[in-house]
Amino acid sequence: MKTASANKTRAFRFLAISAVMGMVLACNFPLLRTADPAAAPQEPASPAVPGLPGATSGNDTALEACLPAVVPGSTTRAQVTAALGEPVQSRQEGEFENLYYPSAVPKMFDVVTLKDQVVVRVVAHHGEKHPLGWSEVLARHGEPAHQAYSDFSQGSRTYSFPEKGLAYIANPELDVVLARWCFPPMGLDAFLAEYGSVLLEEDPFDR
Amino acid sequence: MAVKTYPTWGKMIRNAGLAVLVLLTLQLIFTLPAEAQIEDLEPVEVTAGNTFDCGGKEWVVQVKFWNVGALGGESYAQASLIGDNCINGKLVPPEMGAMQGRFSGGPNGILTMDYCLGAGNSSNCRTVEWQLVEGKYFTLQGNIHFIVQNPEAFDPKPITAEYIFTTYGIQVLDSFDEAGYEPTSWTNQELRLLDEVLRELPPAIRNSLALSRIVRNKVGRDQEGNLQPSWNGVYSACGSPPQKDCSSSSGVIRIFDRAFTPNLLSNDPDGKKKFKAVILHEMIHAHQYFKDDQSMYRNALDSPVLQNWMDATRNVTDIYDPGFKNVDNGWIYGSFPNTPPQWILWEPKEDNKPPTSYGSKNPLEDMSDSVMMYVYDPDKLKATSMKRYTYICDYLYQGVEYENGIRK
Repeated sequence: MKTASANKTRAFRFLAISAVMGMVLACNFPLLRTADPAAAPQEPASPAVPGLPGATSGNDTALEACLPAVVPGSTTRAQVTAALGEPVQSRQEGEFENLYYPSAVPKMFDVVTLKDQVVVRVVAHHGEKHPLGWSEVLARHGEPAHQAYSDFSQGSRTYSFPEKGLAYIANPELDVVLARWCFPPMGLDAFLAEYGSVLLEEDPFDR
Repeated sequence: MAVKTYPTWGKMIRNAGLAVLVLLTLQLIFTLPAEAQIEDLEPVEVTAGNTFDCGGKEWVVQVKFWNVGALGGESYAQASLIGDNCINGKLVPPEMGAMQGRFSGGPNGILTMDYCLGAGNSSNCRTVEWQLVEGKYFTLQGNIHFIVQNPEAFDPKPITAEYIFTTYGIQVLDSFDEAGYEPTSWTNQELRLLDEVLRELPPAIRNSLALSRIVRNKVGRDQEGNLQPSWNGVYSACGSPPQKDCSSSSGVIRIFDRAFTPNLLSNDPDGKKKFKAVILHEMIHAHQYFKDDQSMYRNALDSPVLQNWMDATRNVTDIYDPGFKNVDNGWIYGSFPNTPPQWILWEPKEDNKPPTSYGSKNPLEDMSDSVMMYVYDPDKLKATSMKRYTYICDYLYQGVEYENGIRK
C-alpha cells in the first residue's frame, strides 16, 4: 500500500469525523497521554500564557499543539516568543519566516513557520525527552485520514489527520512518533490539494 | 666434502612431467580458487613431496610444514625438508638430519630454506624460496616442484549457524513457515561471507548492536506486507514481526536474494562483495539503534552515534551558533511551508557529500552507506567526502583501513 486508496480515504475520513464527534460528545475524554507528563502538553489549570488563543479553550487542536500554546492559524509571532522565548535562530524564506527552537532531540530544531506574523505551521520532534507512542495516537485519534511514506527513516510513515490540523511522522513497528507537524485544520481534500503532490507515495528506500 | 644437492628444475622435469599433467587436469576441474584466510584454518601438518632421479634411482624428497605457518604463530612456522642427498649421482643420507626452514602460512605461502654447499660452510649458503600455489603444489622458479599430498588441509573450516551464534551471539536463521516469505536458507558460502563481515567489524561496533537475529529471505516485504523486490536487506529494531516490549535484543536483519546482484560496487563480478556490503550496511543500522545491553533508541536520532555522525559532516556543530543553519552545514530536518517536513542536505559541497544517492536520503542511510563504502570502495568515499572517510577511520575503525574489502 503506497497511500490510502480512494475508498480507504473515504473510510478514514468517516472514521476521523466520527472520532472527532465522539470526542466532542464525551464529557471527560482523556488528554493525549505521553510518557513524560512534565514535558507533555497537558490541559492547563491556568493558561501558560494568558490570552494566547486556544490555551484554555478546551479546543482539541490547541490541547494537542505541537508546541505549548502555539496554535497554527492564530498565534502571532509576539505570542510565540512570549511563550517560548526568543528562537535560537530565525530565517526569512520568501514570504515565510522560520523560527528555530531546540527540540526534544539533540541537534534537531523544532520549527515555527510564520506568514504575515501569524503561525502557519509547527514541526516538533519527539525523542527520549518527550516520547510519544504511535499506539497512543491511534488510541486517541483513531485511524488517520491519510497515510504516505516518509524519508525520516526506513519504516517511517506520515499519518495525517487534516481536520485536526495534525500529521505524525511515526514508525508503527517501533511504536514511536518521531516528529509532529501542526497546521490550521482543513478538510482532507484541501490537505491533499496543498500537500498531496509532495507527500511520498512511493517507498523512498528503494536502492 | 659432502655436497648437498637438492632437487632442481632440470632434474625434476623428467620425473614430474606426469605430475604436472595431473595437476593441470585437476586445476581445470577445480577452478574455485582457495580463498581461505588464516583465521579460517585449523592448524594441520601438511606433507608435500616428489620423486626425482638420482643416478637412475628414485630419489624421494618430502617437505613437512604447518598449513597456518608463521601467520598462525611462531610454533607453526618451522618446516622440514626430508630425504637423502644426491651426491654425484648417489643417494647419501644427510649428515645433519632433516633440513629446517620456515613456512609463511596459508594456501599461497612461501617456504624458505637456507642450504649450504658443504656442511659447516656458512659462507657458501643461499636461500631458496618455494611458492605454494593455492595449497596444491610448490613452485621453484616458476616450475612445479613439490606436490601437496593433503591439500584438504587448506580447506577452510566450515562456518555454521552455531559457530556464528557461539562466536558473536547472533542467531542465524533460515526462513521457514514465515507468513508472507518464501522459504530459503543460508548457503555455506553465505555463512562464510557473514562471518567475514562480523569478524571485520570493529569490536566497539560489534559489541554495540541492537541485534539478535539475522534471517535469510528471498524477497523483502514492508510492514504493510507489500513485496519489495528492490530491497537488498532491511533492519528492524523492534523485530520482525515487531515485539511489543522491544529491547536491544529485539533487532532483526533480513538479507534478500537481491543482495547478490552486483549492481552497487565495482570489481564485484559475482556479487559477493555486495552481499557483504549489504550485511555491513544493516549492521551499522543495528549500531545506530543500540543504547545499552537492555535497551535501544526508538528514535535513532537520540543516539550519540548518529549525533556524532552528523556533527562529523558539519563545519559548525554548536546548535546556538548562527553558522549551524548555514546552507552547507550538513543535515537538517527541514521545513518549507508548502511541503511536508523532510530531510535536507542543503548545498553540500563537492567534497562533503554522502557517497551514494541512497546515502543522501537521511543521516542514518548516509552513515550506513559511508561505512559500507569505507570498507568496500574507499576511493569513492574519499572522493565524495574526506570528512566522512577520516571520521570513520579515526573514530569507528581505529585507524584500520581497507582496500577493496580487504584490510590493508
